[in-house]
Amino acid sequence: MLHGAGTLESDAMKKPAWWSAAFVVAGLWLGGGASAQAPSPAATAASAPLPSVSLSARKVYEQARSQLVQIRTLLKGPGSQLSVGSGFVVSDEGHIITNYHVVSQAALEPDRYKLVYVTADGREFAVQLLQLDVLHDLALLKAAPRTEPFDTLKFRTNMQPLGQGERMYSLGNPLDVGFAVIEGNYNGLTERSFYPQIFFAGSLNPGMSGGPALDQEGRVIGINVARQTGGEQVSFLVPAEFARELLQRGQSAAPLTASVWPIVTEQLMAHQALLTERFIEQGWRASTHPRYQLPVPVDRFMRCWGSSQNSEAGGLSYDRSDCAMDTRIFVGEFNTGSLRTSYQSYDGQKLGSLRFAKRYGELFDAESFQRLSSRHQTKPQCKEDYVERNGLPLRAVVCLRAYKKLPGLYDASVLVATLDHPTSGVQGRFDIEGVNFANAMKLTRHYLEAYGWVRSH
Amino acid sequence: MGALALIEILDRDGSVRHAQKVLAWPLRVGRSLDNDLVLDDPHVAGHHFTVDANEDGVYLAVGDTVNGVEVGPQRLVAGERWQAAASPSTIVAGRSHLRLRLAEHPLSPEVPLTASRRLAPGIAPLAWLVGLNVLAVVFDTFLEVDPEPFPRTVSMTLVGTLAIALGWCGAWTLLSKLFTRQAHFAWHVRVLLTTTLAWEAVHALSSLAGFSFSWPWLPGYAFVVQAAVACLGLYFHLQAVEPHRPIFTRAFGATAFVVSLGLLMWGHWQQTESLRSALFQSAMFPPALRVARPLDTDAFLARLQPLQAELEEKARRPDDSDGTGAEREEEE
Repeated sequence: MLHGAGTLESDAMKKPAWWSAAFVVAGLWLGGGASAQAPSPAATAASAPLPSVSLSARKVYEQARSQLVQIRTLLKGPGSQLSVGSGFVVSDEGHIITNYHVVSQAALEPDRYKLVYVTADGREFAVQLLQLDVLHDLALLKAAPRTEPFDTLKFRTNMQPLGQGERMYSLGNPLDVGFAVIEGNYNGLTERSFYPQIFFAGSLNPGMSGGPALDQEGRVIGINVARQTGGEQVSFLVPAEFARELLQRGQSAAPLTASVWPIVTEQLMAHQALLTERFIEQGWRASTHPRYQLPVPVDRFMRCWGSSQNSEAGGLSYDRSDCAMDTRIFVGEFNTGSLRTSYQSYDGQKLGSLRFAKRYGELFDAESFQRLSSRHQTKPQCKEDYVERNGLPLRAVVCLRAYKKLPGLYDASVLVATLDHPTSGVQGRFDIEGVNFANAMKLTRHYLEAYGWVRSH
Repeated sequence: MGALALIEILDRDGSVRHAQKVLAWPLRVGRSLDNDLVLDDPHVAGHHFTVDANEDGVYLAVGDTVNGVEVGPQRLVAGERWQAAASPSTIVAGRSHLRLRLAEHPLSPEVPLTASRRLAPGIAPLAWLVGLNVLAVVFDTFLEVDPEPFPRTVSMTLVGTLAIALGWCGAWTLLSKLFTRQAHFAWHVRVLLTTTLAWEAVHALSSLAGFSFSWPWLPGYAFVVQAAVACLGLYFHLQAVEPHRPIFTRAFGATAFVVSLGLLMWGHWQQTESLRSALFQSAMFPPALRVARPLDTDAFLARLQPLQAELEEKARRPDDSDGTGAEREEEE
């Protein structure tokens, strides 16, 4: 799941909310024509003479139509539809690949929800969950056995790399309107993603999550996963190799009937170990402040922004830096597995020491630690004291929260304020999401030890 | 011939509204116009009671009344008698409060004025209090605002604070006037100014000591002392409203303290699962005021270790305090 990117599956697929949400979010790309469009994909495909470029789209769609399914999460009992996504058949035995976030509700609460798939010709069948890959947002399902054989989609191998700009086709059932094919272009892998993701220049819509993105020969390149809500035609795909690995790993697995929280926890444990190792390994940027050494990460898998403000009323002036990971792991009801750092460098020369101290304290106080509700996390527990880094005195506060459904995983926040100068100082913050206690300590140490004087001081 | 007794009609606050000398026995009291003392009170009978004398001394005889008569702690019904005591007694008939003083009762000594003077502070301490409070407001505003709008802001803050203080003291003065017939305005001003100064001092000193010695618990629990200061202020205000009921005012102050403390702690617990008012100490002072020695990273991280067990224990506890859990159960 991408930070700042909406999932394709509409967040609220309960009908009334769905339509209002669709108009707010979907207004740009749906325009006013949503209701005027013919809902049947078959009718669209068959109608009117089409320009030559879409002939291949038509061919691809017709080839993939029988392998394409819609995945629905239903409320057990009343059977009403809770959310919808897409998926595709990848084996003769009826294995289906989709996104984890399409099936997460049923996977986490199998007592309340069940999954079904719907074929392009509108028939509904039961489907079971076999395996998941939370880190790449994938799930492997298996259709209940049926008499007619399953058509399958093939994966494009890594031996056949795509060139930037190559045409590709994303398939799925956008907004539950009907199966559709959407043309777009391959644009390589996205930059600064912790796990590889394909940048697809095409319009993915809610409901297409888990659908395949195919090359001109109809081979699977990636799986629709997200789009950037603030942009136009900036969409993301999970590379097909992860789906292939998942299929190999889970092909003959027994169906998962119990809640998958333990599996999610196990996969997040692996993620946090890798994240901690890679974050510490990449080190910090060279000096970014005239007086202090400050922890600003190298932006290998993080994105940094800066801002600055000069007070015209003789008050506090500041420079600010914010670095955050694009990648966050979607767990079900929340995201985790991400890191964020920020610092503000304050200059209060015009204020004098007493006034500066007052403001400096108020700014320190404004920090909050509550991210998730108490259903998911404990209340924060903090420790604080003065810490010295090579002669630089700091006020340090560390607050930790434990996840209730992910035992052994914690969020940690580290607040630091330099305390060496009467009218200026730097306040930094490091947010660590979803790591074990040892790694929380390791990352806290890594962060605290990045503070110090610049050498020439 | 001298008076045999004095019968007084008292007000709610104990002051005398009407006094009548008794020159001859019997003294008849009731609503009817043929009484010696007429009480125009609907809860009083036509001939409510009579005070007379025989060889045993002065006695009170209750007339034909449904409500009876209360003499001190005793309750008398129609037809009963009560022998007068050796000191003045309070008599309640219907809703009227009376006092009977006999000629033979010893005269109690004169009460010096100091007790009531206590509620009228002198000009000098008041002037000091006003001066210190103005300084505190100006200093607080100085700390809060940027240099440029300071003169404008400080004048507005002073006017605003003055208005609030006057409103507060005015309300208490009204209460005093209502219950004691005396305004006690200066007393209420003094109580308010002393309370705010004490409140500010507790806040400033606890923050400063917390910063200097790295004692985050001190500003974290300063609210206990601040609540005590506020309730003491309330108690002293009340003294000028109900001066004759010290037990009531003390009980009110103590109850207010216990209730406010309970509410504050409950609020803190809801927010942070700790009784402290904040998760961590945030107030800052110039670095030169720091006395506590800083730790090295190892020692600081070692202090975090116990959190693991605490958090694990908390995480195991199901918690639906935010209400979402309850909603979910309803859905099921």
